[in-house]
Amino acid sequence: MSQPAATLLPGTLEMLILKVVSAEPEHGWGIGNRLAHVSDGVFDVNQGSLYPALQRLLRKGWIKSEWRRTENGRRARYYATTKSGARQLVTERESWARQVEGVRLVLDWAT
Amino acid sequence: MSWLDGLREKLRPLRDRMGLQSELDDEMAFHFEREVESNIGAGMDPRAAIRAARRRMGGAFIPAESIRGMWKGYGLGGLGQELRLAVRRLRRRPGFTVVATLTLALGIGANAAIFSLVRGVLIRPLPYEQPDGLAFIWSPERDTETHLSAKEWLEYRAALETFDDLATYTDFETSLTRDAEPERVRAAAVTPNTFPILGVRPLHGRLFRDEEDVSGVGTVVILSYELWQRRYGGDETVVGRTITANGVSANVVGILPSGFRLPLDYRLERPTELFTTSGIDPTSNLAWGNRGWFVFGRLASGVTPALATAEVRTVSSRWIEEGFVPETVGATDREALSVSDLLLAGMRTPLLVLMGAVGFILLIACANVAHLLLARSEARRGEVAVAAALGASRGRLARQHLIENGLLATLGAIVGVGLATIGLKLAVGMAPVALIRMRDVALDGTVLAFAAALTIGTTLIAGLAPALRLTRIPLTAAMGNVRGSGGGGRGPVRRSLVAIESALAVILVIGAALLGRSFIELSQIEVGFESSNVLAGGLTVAAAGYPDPEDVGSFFRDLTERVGRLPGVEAAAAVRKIPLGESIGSWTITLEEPLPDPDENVEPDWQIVTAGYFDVMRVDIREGRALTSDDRAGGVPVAVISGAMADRYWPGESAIGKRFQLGTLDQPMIEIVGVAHDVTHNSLLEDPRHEMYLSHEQWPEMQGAGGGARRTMALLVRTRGDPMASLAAVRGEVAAIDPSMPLANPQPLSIITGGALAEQKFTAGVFGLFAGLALLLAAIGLYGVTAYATSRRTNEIGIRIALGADRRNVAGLVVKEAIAVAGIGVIVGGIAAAWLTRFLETQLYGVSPLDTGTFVAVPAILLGVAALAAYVPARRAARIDPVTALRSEG
Repeated sequence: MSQPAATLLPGTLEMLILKVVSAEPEHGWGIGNRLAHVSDGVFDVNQGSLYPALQRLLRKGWIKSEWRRTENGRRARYYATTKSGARQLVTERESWARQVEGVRLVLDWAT
Repeated sequence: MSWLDGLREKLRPLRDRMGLQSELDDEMAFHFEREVESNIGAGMDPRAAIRAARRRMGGAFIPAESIRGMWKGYGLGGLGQELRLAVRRLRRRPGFTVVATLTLALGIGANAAIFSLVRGVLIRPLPYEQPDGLAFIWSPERDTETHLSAKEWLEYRAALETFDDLATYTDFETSLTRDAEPERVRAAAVTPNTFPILGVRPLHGRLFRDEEDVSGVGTVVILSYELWQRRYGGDETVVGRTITANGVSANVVGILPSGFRLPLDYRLERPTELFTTSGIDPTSNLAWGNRGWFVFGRLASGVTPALATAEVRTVSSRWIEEGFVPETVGATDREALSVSDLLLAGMRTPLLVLMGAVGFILLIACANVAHLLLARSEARRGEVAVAAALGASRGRLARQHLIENGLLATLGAIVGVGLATIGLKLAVGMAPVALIRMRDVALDGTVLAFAAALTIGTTLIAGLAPALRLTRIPLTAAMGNVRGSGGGGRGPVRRSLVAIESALAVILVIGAALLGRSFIELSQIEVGFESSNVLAGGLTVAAAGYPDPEDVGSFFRDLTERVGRLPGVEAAAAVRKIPLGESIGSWTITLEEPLPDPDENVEPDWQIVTAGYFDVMRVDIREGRALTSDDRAGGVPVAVISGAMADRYWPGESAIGKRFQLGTLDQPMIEIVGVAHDVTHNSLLEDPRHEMYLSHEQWPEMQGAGGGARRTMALLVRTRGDPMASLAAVRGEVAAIDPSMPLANPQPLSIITGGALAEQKFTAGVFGLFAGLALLLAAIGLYGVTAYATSRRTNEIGIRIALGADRRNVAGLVVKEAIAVAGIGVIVGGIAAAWLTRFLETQLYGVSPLDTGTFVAVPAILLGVAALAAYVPARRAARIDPVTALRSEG
């Protein structure tokens, strides 16, 4: 919790969620936790963004959800990527890479 | 596929808004829990952890609100919102829902079916006017028919003040000819006051007039509704016409309403269908001892059967004092027996035992469902505690819970009523004659109300306790316990449920096992004859066409010879009374060599047979010979006697060549030519009887001068295949000799004799079914309770294994505990069963109500079920990687 949480560009959160659940199905809390963990605390997504994003992904058909039991027997809703979600992740990665490259070019040009 | 899934997801807000909302609520609750847990894990105390989580979730439901916003425009859930939520919840746990519904359905269904039976048979009044006031004058042996003489009826009628009026009737069979195919029907000669006493009014025409009682006998008749419909097509103009019964013209004066039966007809498969008057002439010199009449009447108002019995006995003892009636008749033992006692007393115990049995089944079902609900509420503690913490009112939570349980119970009731309908149809199909009133039993409004009451009761009992418990959980306790070692899995409530279920199941299964064993014992009784592949039918040779005894003799001789020559027929014979079909009576005889005790009466059953009877029935001749076609009128009168009779009177010597006479007067001596193996005649439960087989053609002479022929006989035809396949050919032979002669009630002999076991079969069958059900429910219950309790102990098992416990020992420990709990129930159940089985005693044969084998085997089997139910989940738990098990410790 040393640094303040970073704000995300619109649409980026969806991509990150897709990435997290493409590894293995995960529930909402776990996704938020994983994001915070992997990004070393940079992205501490609050629920107000996380669940609406999950709903948007569901409606686009990029992820699917099912109710399962956690290892200690509680019911939780798990999310996983669909095939089109996996394709979308590839597309987004490429477009993200182009954006980063674009941003870098612009910033480099300034110096 | 994924495209379709996407589409479904897109359209979901449209079709399943409630579902989405409830899913979202669950999801938020889960998120909140994890947040709290994670805070606690980070070292916060529970209170602070909850506060922090709430703060972080930013007003908790804001995300949910904003997501709901995304569904907007798809319409709102209207009324019955909670109901739909409950439906949704049940659908999400299909396993739970199906098991709970079926369990309730079986319990409610079995109860509704048996309640219908009890109501239809025991509670529903007999269809007479004030049936409670009707009583027969009967002997203390209720199962044997009590015949009185017409003279005794007249005297009782004049003397008894405890009766308003007494009627009498006697039954016989008659042949209807003309109008249609010849047909034999049951008939009764009744005094004209019979119908008014029963409170029956004619559907058409009129009843008998008093003056017709003597003059009208055989010439005025009343038809039953069923005979009128069947034979006369329901034609009203039959009233006033003449029909021909037993070759005599009779005038039809009335038709009775549909469904009418004389009281004693409730013991018979075929009711009386033709009624004529009694012909009792009070002015004539009636014999006191000519007994062949049933006497019944209406008790004076306020008179109990016991009071009337006292007066009957007083009057009877006066007759004995005055020498009208010999003491041996037992007139002073006679009682006034209410019609309902006479007809139903024998069925009361079995039916009430059944009712008790299904009550147990319902209790087991309730215990199962209560446990299921308890287990569920345990699993939902955290979720509910969170909802309560977030502001859901406790009343609302309890209401939701009750609605859900009510829904379950309603589902159970609907399926249960369906099961009851099917079960009742099956039971009615199996109904023995003694339960003839069952034939028209159906589920009705009362029974449905009964099922509904059961449902409500079940919901309240099984659902209320968990609901209350659920709403009272303090949040912190719930949050703490969610990750706990599952102590709730071994709670006293759950343990007593297992014990109670085991006890109930032991009682039921022991009862069923005892009945099943009696059934097997009964089936193994040697009857002494072979009933398969024999066709049986009744024949009566009317005096009109066959005036002399020789005519009757040659009719049966010709007929059995002709039928015996038919293709597919092995042999044919005629007999007076079919074993296990009709009761046989005894005849006092005098042996040629006097007995040591001159006062001893020799009273063998009298059986009249034609030659070939022993072949047709495959009754073995132990010694000497069978009766043959050479034993005719004019020859030496001969008899075959039963082994039991030979052993009784001629022990250690041969009975062959010994002689006796019927009665003590001028009857000719009859020579014993053969000894036959014993045949079970009246009941499977009696000892072998003394029996004499006399030749049909010699019978008239045997009775002494002027003896008449035996005119009503049963024709028995042994066939090579299905007996009914020969029916048409047999009928053809009867018609070839006499076209106006009907063959009464033709059916396979095995059906007639099979009826001897009908009651036992019924009780054992129904009980067996319920016991199977109880065992199934108890097994499900035991398995469910034990498996759940074990799964709650996963953590503990993990710790034990991590600390070095042997996996097999851990599983063994769980199994041992389950057996201990079930064992308590089994012991209690065994003790209760030892007390309760006495009510089964009258239904048992060849097995004691405290049969050791049964009382050992049944508890052992149930303990085995309990052990298995514990072993499967215990082994699964013991196999868990301890790390996984411990991680759930959080």
